[in-house]
Amino acid sequence: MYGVISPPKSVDTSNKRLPAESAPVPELTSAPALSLDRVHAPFGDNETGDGLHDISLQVARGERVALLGPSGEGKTSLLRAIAGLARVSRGTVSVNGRDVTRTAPEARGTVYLHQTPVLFPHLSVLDNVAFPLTVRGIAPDERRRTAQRFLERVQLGELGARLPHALSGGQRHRVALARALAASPHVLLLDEPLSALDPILRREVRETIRDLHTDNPAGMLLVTHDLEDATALGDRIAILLGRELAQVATVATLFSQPATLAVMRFLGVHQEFAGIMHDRERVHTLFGTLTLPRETTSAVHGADQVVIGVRADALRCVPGHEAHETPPTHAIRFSGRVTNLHHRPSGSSAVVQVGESTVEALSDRMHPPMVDDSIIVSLDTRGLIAFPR
Amino acid sequence: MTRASLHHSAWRFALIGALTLSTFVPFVILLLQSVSLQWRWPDVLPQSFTLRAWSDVFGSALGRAAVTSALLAVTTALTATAFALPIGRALARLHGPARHLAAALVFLPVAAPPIALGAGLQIGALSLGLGGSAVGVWLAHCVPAVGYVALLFLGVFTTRSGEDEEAARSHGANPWQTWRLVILPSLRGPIAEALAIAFLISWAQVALTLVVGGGAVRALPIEVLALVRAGQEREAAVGALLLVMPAIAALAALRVGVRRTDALPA
Repeated sequence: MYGVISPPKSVDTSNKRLPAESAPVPELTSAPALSLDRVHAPFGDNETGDGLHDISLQVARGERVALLGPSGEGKTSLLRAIAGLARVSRGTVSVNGRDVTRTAPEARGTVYLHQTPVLFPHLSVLDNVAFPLTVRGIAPDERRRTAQRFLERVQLGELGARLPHALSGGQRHRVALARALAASPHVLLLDEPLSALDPILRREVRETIRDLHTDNPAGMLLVTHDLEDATALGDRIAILLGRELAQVATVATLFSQPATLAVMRFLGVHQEFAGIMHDRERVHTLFGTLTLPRETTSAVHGADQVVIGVRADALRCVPGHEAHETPPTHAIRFSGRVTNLHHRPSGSSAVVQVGESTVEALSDRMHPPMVDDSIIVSLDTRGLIAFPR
Repeated sequence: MTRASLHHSAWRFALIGALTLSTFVPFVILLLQSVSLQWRWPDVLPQSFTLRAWSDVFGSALGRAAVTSALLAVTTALTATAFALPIGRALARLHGPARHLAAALVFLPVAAPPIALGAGLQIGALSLGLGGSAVGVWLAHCVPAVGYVALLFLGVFTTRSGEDEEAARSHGANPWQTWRLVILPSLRGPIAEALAIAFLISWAQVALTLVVGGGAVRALPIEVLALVRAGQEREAAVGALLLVMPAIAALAALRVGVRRTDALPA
């Protein structure tokens, strides 16, 4: 453990909500926490049309959605537009069912957290966390008690009297998160909360976010360009490509059924091969003729040349003792020559020359093949996806 | 130590010595002059001393002038800072040619010779019925003071990211609360500097006071000028030293402030 939040048994569950008289608890409505309807958000003050287009997205209450995309796609711009810190030129932003497109930032029910935690340097840690309660006019004693409870939830109960400059990077992140939750927002907007953190701190802040958000009714939209962070924190992932939302899906769906070739390439978990359609379901590849899963045939209907995506775990080196067994019906086998071996913490794989191309296939870590070995590779066709070329 | 480094050290000491002499000698002379009863040329020091000029300050025209100057400088400092802060912030938010033009307009009263500025302001003051009044002089002092201090705040706001304001708004603070609870506390240092600068601009202002005040507003620099012209050297020296005191106090305060931020060696 790296100074992460205590398990719930040590936390008084009554602390997870502010008392009704001290802060507005999000209303129990059936409306999503956040709803974006065809939002256009220009970059900066430009009127040239450069910006985000037609962004529609819903975040349910208590749901975490990771907004994932390459740098420069406008992820931060979208978050700032939702928070009221940047302009929305068209479309509607609704929070808890209320249209807040033209509402001031402080009245939206959203809290936006900058990439680097912005704590007020002249206020103590406790007063920083109490800030949202101070501006609501909560009595000093009550706001200090409430802020102290939030500080204890992030295991910083002893540091309330310190000034922000005396905190470590991880502590600053945790104070910022505690302050955000003290505001009892309907929607939490986190801008790259884990970038620029070392691996240990990254894990610490990631667990803090997960723990603090557990049982919290606020919807969370967090921006990241890191697939691992997105899968670790997001209940769903929204992919922003070409300044438009390319796909919004659960992690499992995203990896098994990327909506477009661009999404598949951005995710980077598939190997790509060229193919020529034989009929509506079958495609010729360097591995032989494959039958595409039914889910993907409609995507390539009418196409002649296609791109086949194969997930890394669909290709496997067949151990010697299995080589003579009959393969399952959903698998095909082909032979090749090992040209290289990769050993990673997650497992080992072999780079196999097949005709003019190479594939990378998972190998048995205990009995890996040797370079120059001729081996048999099994391809599980259930994970195939195809897109028109 | 080599011959070359000895040579360099000697030059360094000579330069520092010359700078120290040029800085302190005038003040030492003023100090001696203010307490001299008899000081005839070519004596290096006065023949006899007296503290009469200092003890007479309270209740004298010089003392009254110092009070007038202090009141003018304090009101100018407060007014100029109050106006310049939002002006500097607004300028920092402009972009491109508009920002350059606005900054040039603010800088104009700073760059213009005070006597030229005074001539223009005198006409305005007279037309408003403020010629020869302390209020007219106060308003005139505010013109260059606002310019100087607005430029200071322009620099401050240009380097601020504004993220603290965004964080405050996002956590529920309205614009007024954001100013009161976040912006102003974070600007304590620059505000203190602005107050000090505006105070000193007004405190040492001769041309604007003379032209707009028309001799009726007897601020300290005007009184010192009159004493010098009248040949009352001891009283003039006391007045000159009084004029210097706030500057020394401001430098000392700045030194403390800068040391606190480790910008200068201890």
